[in-house]
Amino acid sequence: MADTNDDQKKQLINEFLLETEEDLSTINSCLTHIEKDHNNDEELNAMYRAVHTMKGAASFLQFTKLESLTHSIENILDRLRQKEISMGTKMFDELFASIDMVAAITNSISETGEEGDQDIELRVKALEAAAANTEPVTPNEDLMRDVDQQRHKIIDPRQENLQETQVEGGLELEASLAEAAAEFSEALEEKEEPTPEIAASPHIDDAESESKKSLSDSVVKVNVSLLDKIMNVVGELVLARNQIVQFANSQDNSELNRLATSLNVITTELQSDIMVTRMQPISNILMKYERVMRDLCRATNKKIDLQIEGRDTELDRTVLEAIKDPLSHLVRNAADHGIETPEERAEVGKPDTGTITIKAYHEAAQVTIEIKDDGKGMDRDNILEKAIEKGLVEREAAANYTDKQVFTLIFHAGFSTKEQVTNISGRGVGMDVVQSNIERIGGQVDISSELGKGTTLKLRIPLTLAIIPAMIVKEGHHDFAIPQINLVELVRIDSNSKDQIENLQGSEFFRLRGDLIPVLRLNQVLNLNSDDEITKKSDSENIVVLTAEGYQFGLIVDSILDTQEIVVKPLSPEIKDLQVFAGATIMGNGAVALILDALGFAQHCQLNIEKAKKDVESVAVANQVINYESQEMLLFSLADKGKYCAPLCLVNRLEEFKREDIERVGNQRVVRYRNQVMPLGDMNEYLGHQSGESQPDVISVLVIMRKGQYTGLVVDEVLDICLVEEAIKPNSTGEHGLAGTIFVQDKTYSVVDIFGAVAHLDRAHATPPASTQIIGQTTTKSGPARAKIVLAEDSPFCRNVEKRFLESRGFEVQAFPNGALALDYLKKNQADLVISDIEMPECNGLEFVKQIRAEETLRNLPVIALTTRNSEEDRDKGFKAGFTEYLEKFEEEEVFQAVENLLKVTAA
Amino acid sequence: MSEAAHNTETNAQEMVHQFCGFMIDGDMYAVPVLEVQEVIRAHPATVVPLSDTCIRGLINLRGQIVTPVNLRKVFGLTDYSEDQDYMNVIIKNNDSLYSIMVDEICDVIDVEGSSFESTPDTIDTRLRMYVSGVHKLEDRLLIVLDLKKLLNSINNQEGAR
Repeated sequence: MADTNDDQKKQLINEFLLETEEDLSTINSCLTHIEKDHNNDEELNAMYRAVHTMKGAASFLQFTKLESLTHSIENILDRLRQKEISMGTKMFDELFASIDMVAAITNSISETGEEGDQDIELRVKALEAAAANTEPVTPNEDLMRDVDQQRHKIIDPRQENLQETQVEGGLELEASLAEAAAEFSEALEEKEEPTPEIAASPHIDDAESESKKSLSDSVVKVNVSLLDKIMNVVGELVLARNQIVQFANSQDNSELNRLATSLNVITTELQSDIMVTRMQPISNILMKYERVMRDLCRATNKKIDLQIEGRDTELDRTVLEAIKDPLSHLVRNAADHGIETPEERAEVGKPDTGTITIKAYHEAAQVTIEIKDDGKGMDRDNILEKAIEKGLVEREAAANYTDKQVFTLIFHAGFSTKEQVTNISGRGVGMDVVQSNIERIGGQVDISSELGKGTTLKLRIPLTLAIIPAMIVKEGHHDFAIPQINLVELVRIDSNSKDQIENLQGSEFFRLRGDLIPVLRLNQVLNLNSDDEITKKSDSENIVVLTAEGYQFGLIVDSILDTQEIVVKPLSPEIKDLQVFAGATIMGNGAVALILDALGFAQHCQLNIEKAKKDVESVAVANQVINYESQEMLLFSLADKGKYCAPLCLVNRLEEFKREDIERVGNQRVVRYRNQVMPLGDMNEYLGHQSGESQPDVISVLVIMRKGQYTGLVVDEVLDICLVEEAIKPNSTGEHGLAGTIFVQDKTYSVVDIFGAVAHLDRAHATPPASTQIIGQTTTKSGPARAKIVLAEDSPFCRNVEKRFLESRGFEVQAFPNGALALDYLKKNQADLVISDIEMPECNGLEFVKQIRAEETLRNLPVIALTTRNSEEDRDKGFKAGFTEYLEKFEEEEVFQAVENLLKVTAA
Repeated sequence: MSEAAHNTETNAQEMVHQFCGFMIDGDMYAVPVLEVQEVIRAHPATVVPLSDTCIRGLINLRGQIVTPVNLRKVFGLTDYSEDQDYMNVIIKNNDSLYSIMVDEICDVIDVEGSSFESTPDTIDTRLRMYVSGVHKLEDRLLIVLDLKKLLNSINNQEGAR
């Protein structure tokens, strides 16, 4: 720990010295100018600022002499600025002398690490005396001599070393300097007594240490924007080179070829050199964490040992800048969330001191930074619980999550598992920002953790942003570049296995080794009108599998060309705002190609994908809103091998029972189900088929709920649930027990009259007949004079049945697939009564009735809930929401009675 | 009297302005010549999917990406036909290079400040917001375009989408 501390301080001092060198030259030149022109306030201010900065730095680094000296210089300058004192020759002499002393001290610091033995007090007094303009005190001879000596010391060795240092490479120097400085401090400690002679000590009597004195001579500060510009120009040079090489290759001219080759070599060298100028060792940012960690340990009472490996790993400075904040967040997280307190650690038998390892290394064309702690690891259940609580995931879905998927949840915005917010981390902002920041520069975050053992975060960062490897793909005549970093794999599907792309609810999915990933067609997303249909007819599909924010999706493209190193060019804002493109690049042939931004692309399509997912999850809902006539049918088979189906909305549940669980009560077969005795009816028997010979051990049962009583209908096999857009054709043959026929997937299925079957069972067992056939009843009874009923019901099947029934009783019915539409109608039209389902998309029954009650004109309108949700609780909720009556579906007589009663009441 | 001194004494009204004139659909437009980086021939452009229709695509100007803006689209005029030639007037705005697509380039036109008039009300509303004023020439009107406004409005349209 002590070593790293020293390193750190040395680095700071080096920076300070560099800066002081500049400041001193500023001050000297300002002072000279001011001496000539006393009214030069601008330079006076500049000088004042420089001194002030120096004072601040000196105080920070605890160079007390330097601090007090600069402090008094600053004072004088300030008074000069305020015109409190006048400028005389004496004053300038004193100022110059003081500045020289500052130089002497900094030089001493640079040589020995100590301030040296200059007599500050005398200097300060002389300065103040000059300022006070009292008896101008001549600095005594000693002082002058002292200063002169110092000046000598400063200047001489430097001149000697100048030549050598210029020969040395700047970067190497810095490294060797650090070493030399380390040796120095050792030497100092040994000697106890820092003296100028130390410069002659054998430890440093070599070229390396001599060069150290002229640190500032060997390093040139260059404006970053200049470097960026050079980088850009080199990028252009690379492109020009590409074009010339391409051209030369096509020409049969050996001289041109030779020239092109040499241009090629030079350009490549220049390119790699210029890249190096922008490279900085990662230690520049990692070093800071040692300090951070110490503060953290103190604040949290933890013991943490920070180990840094691979300090010299170099990254482009823009990349370095971009990962600074995310990285620091992750390190803090590891310390705060990861490592336990010493007591907790002792309990689980770990050593007191936790270890956080930061490891940076090159891997492929990337830099990987690993942040590993040996703390408590991430608790899967804890994270899931939080995520569910915050509504990030559904409880049902969560059960199937892999560990990795669970851990990735912490990257969601607004997620923080730490119960108490500390000032170190845990504000719930951060992990999402970390991820998006890393991805923005083309990096990736990987997380793995073992409960009780620790967590490892892996950042994969590209070396540079300016030149990236990319895959070139073609769509129509358009070339696009896809950064390699987003690329997972390439998949080619032959036409004979095209069924691997599945179409679910209008969105395409592709089964990649069992995982269902959404597939987008590049030409569709980008609205490219494929005027060349010929290429579209190719017999295979190319899928580029991309990843963005841990989310994989496939992109279908016409063809995949090859990978290239491309130079990223910025886009003008109006194109950048599309968010689909990360930039543009220039291809070998001079044409411009756009670079796809996988993250932006995914976000652009996110709506579609999310929507598609939703569609898949709750199959019917979305479609029914668009297409009111589609409905879900349950397909099953019976003993005669015929195709049968029933509207799913009538079936409460699908169950399987073991044959031995079936009991007999009289001649009635029953089974215990949900604390009830559920009578079982055989569908085969109802339809007059011979029961099949096979007696399977497990029987499939459709559970129907009527009047709070379950009834089971036994079928041979449940086949599927299908979304059907066709309407049911009413039964024309009058065949017993069938409500009609319907086309499902180009095949005709018979729709079984489910309630008929239930009623049949009831009748067979002496319950009075209660049901009417649900479809096809057309007898018109004379109802009250054409009362108008508004019906809201999402299932087209139920809607039609109810509508037909009510119409058959002489009412005028307006039916709507959801509450919202019905409400719109009610607001504009008069109605006598409303019947509504509870479960509806868009605006469900409860909301619907609340909104009706909120309308002034509709407040007293009778509203009947018609539903299969029939528990006490449901009824209470319904009445509370404002329903006048709460009835069960398909109890037509009851419904009719209720309607008539309510109408009578309102009429009266 | 030195040239500089002369200039400072000259009334702003009499200052000679130099414009780069060009034709679009029979009308003459101009932008201050100092805003123009260069003028190049029609260049094959890479179409940018999903972008505003007035953005023709991207072209490569010696390794730099230029975004050509189709003024006919911006002004609501009939678009260029397939084989119709045009010129690119290259302009720098906020660190990005743009090209203003024009039918034909005229000479650099010297006009005196006194011939300047604010935008007449009769100019088409779709155009007016991009016009900073007009200069009366001997035989015709020179419509001076405000490029910053023009390019920014494209930006904003994009932003709003």
